[in-house]
Amino acid sequence: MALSRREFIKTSAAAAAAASIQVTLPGQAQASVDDGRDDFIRWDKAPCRFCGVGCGVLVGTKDNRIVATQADPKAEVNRGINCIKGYFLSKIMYGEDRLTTPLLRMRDGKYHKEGEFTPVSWDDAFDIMAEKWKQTLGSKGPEAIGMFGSGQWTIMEGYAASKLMKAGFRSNNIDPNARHCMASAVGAFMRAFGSDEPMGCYDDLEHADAFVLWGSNMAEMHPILWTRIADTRLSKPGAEVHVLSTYRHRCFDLADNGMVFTPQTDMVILNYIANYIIQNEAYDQRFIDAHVNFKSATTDIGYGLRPDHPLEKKAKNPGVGKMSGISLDDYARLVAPYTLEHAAELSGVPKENLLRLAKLYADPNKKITSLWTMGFNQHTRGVWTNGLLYNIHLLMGKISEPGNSPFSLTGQPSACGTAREVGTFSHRLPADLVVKKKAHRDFAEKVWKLPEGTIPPKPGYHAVQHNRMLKDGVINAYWSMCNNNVQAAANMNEETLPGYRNPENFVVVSDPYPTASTMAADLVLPTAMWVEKEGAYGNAERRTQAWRQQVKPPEGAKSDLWQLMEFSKRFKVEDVWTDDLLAKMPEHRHKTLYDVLYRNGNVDEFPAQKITDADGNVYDNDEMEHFGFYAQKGLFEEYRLFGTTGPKKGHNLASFDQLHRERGMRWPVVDGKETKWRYREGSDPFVPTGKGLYFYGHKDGKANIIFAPYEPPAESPDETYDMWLCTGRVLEHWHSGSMTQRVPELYKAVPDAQVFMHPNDAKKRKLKRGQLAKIQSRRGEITALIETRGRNKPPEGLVFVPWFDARRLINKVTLDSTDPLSKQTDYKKCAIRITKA
Amino acid sequence: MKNTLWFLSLLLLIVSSTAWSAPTQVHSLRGDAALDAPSVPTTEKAWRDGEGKIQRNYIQQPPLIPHSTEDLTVDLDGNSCLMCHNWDSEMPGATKVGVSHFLSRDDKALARISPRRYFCTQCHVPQKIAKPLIGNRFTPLAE
Amino acid sequence: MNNVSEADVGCIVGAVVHMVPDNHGLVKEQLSMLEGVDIHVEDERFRLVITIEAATSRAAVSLTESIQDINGVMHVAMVYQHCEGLNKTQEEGWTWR
Repeated sequence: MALSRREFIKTSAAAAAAASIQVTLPGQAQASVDDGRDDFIRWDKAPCRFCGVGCGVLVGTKDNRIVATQADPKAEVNRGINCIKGYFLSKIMYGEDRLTTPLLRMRDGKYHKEGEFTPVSWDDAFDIMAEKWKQTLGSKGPEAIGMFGSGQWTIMEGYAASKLMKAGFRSNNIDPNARHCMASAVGAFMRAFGSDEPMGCYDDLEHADAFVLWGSNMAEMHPILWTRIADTRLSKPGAEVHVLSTYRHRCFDLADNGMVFTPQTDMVILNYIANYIIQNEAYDQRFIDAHVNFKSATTDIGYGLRPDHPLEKKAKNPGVGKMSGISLDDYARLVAPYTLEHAAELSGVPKENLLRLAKLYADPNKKITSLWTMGFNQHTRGVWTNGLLYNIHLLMGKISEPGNSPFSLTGQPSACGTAREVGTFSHRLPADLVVKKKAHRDFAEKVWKLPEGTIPPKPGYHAVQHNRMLKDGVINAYWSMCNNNVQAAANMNEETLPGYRNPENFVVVSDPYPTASTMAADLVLPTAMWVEKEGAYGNAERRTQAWRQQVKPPEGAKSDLWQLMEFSKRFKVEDVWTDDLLAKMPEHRHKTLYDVLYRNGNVDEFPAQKITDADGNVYDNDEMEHFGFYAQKGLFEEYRLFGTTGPKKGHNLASFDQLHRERGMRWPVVDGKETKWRYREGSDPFVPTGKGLYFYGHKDGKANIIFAPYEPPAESPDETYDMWLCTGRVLEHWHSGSMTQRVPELYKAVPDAQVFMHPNDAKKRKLKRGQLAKIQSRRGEITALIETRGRNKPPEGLVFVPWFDARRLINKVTLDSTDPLSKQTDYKKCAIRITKA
Repeated sequence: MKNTLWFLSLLLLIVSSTAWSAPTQVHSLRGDAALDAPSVPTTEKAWRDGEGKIQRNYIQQPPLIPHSTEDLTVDLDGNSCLMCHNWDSEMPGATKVGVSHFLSRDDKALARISPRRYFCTQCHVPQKIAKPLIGNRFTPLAE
Repeated sequence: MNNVSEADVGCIVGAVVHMVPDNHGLVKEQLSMLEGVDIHVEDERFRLVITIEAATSRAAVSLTESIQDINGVMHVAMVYQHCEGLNKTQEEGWTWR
């Protein structure tokens, strides 16, 4: 009996569903499913586009459109749940105003700094870019060009950009927006352990007995990790949660010991706890003897402001990171002044709360996971403060074992995987190598098949300096990709805007959407997003995760990788290298940077191929189609050599193919096996046999306990500007809101940035909840609605304003002071006043 | 003669101008406000605070909260959402918490709400009555 | 098999229903009472392969949602959907909506 059309389709539907769970339909002739293949929802895995937690999601695609996303039940990180932002991933690519054509400011038919944005072709866009770059390189050299990259670039994009800048143009003026979020953490890792990134992993969240959150609002900023903490706290008898912050937030809802402290006094509390441990002889002497050196930091190091700023002129040792060796007794003497009374007085936290926290750390039987993010990192003494936390864990030997974990949380999805591990910083190279060490440069040049001396030895300008150098006309050709730094950088009125709008400068911004940054640029390039291209990210627990291209970007938009590689074709080697460098490899004359960087036998090693998953679905790869080879794989495998064969061991990544098969793997990956706890024998393959615990980032295998004293913030409240301003995020919006503010449900959840303040502060200023208020500093002002009963409940004298709202740019108000060692901006402390708008 | 010359040059100018692209209107979410202009004024928006469910776009999307949640708390003292939304609640119209919320991290069935689902607000949010700044072209499967 | 008038069907969905092990008997009972829903096979991990037939795509989604709401259903995964387009001419047994 012939099947009717309806029966045929019904059979196809049932067969498709059965095939998806590898079950056979009984009895029925397997109707060909080819006919119905178009009707499949294709589900494929990818890491979430948003925060550093790196949840796994499944992306549902049909007819080249994303129709749904769901939490990946098989992802170890999140096991089937997402946060609200993750659940709306399917909508972030579909804002109505996606950019689809390059836009150049023009007047009378040509580029003009004050011109109107005019659509131009990609060819014309690269023409003017190449012209400006060549002009700048020719007249002023590589130190006059700059690139601002991103912890949201894919690993391949960051690597391609780093090569282009450091080896192509020979400029170290590449720095990522990760400078604003993780630089202090990196600085502290290098100083304490000689190697970047956490030694623990998310498994610690199930093993720990207690959690201490330092200046980290995990409930909103690392929600899925917060659910794992809530899970442990609410199901493990005796589990405790301690939360320290400069204002009450949602994490206090789970806190057994919630503490609100005066800004910057986290340093005092940390030294007090170390002092308590020493006074009560709770420290692990055997551990200290075997695994720890004591050091003291150089003090009075300034605030990273411009050199002519009075605070910088006053500083005795601005930017000096030198440490001196001391003994345990010296250290004990240095922390002795940090008594309970002193800590309580300076911080405003009641004694009993501080004592409870100290007792917790001092208890050798309690496994403690300490977590922190921007409270410690966006801090003028961020490197020191991270270090003070490590001191406590090292004194007690609570490190590199399940549950005992000083865990530096990462904000961005790939600040670890791209910015830090690839080294897209002004002073770095991949796998923890640095430009200032000849052996490191030599190794990179060898991998890249380039002549000795290609990579410049002097570190370039860092993030905050980029804006200052643009303003001063020192940098004249600038490319910003995958970030919104005009909205993100501090002190917009005095530095950022004058920099971008300086007529001497040509600024290019690549973004999927029009943002504050595109509006300040001269050339805007329409960019592909997330699963519109193949890529990989590395999350906070060292888990590298790859994904395939799921849909095509809107016509006209191209990925960052495509843009970088295409742009490199515009330069002949002799245009950008000096004669004596070219003389070392004369065969490169007349070649383009594209030939030398991306057709070097490594990056183009893998020919174009069909990309399929385990079920036989076929995927696009627009870059492979365009360039004729598997660029992402070639870039990744060349990059991988830095970890597997480079001078700094322990950075081995899994192979490209393995990462596509697995739901990510935590490095170092050796013989296909990931590492959960670094430096611990049995878990980390690089620990020499018999050593037990070995911090192999340092030659003697020991970690550093580094003393540093409390030093005040750059700008504290005074008579005129009588309140603290703290900035940050909210759950529903990611960073500058360019994606989430375009999703109706997320927008409606939190449409406007508000100024969270204490009701008494509002009353004192004759202000009411819901009124528009002016938030003003010495540098600028914005207006925002007052919220006195919201999710954040600041103490009197402090307000909190999130930075996701393009309509009220809080970074007009903030100060561009930094940790002088990490160069990371302190977004948490400056002085403001509030008046009626 | 002069007029003809002038007219011809004008014609030439017009003809050659049309060969180039016209400038285009581009705006960030700031709208018309220049970057150095004051903040875009705004007013307080009310919560959508009524009955009925808010239509989801796909099954996997966590339902939005159709009512205000101000003054509702979820902390160590208790979860006020569950007073109406728990599986044994008698509250008419209150969507019951799905079975998925009673599974542990290891997929074991629990008698009470799973601790990993305790903080409702990480996935479920209320909505203000506010017109989105820009449209979104996402189309769910059904259309 | 549930009899839905051939003239009424515009959309067919293939889906997998994941059931809570304790309730799977009740779930199957409930499903078999729904118009337009056919159960094709069940595996040993308490998963059902079903098809859903409905007049319009909206009705198909609505029906799928109500399956999700059945006590004992953990999860419904839509794998396949075919809806007759508005432009389709009349074919044997079909009426477009």
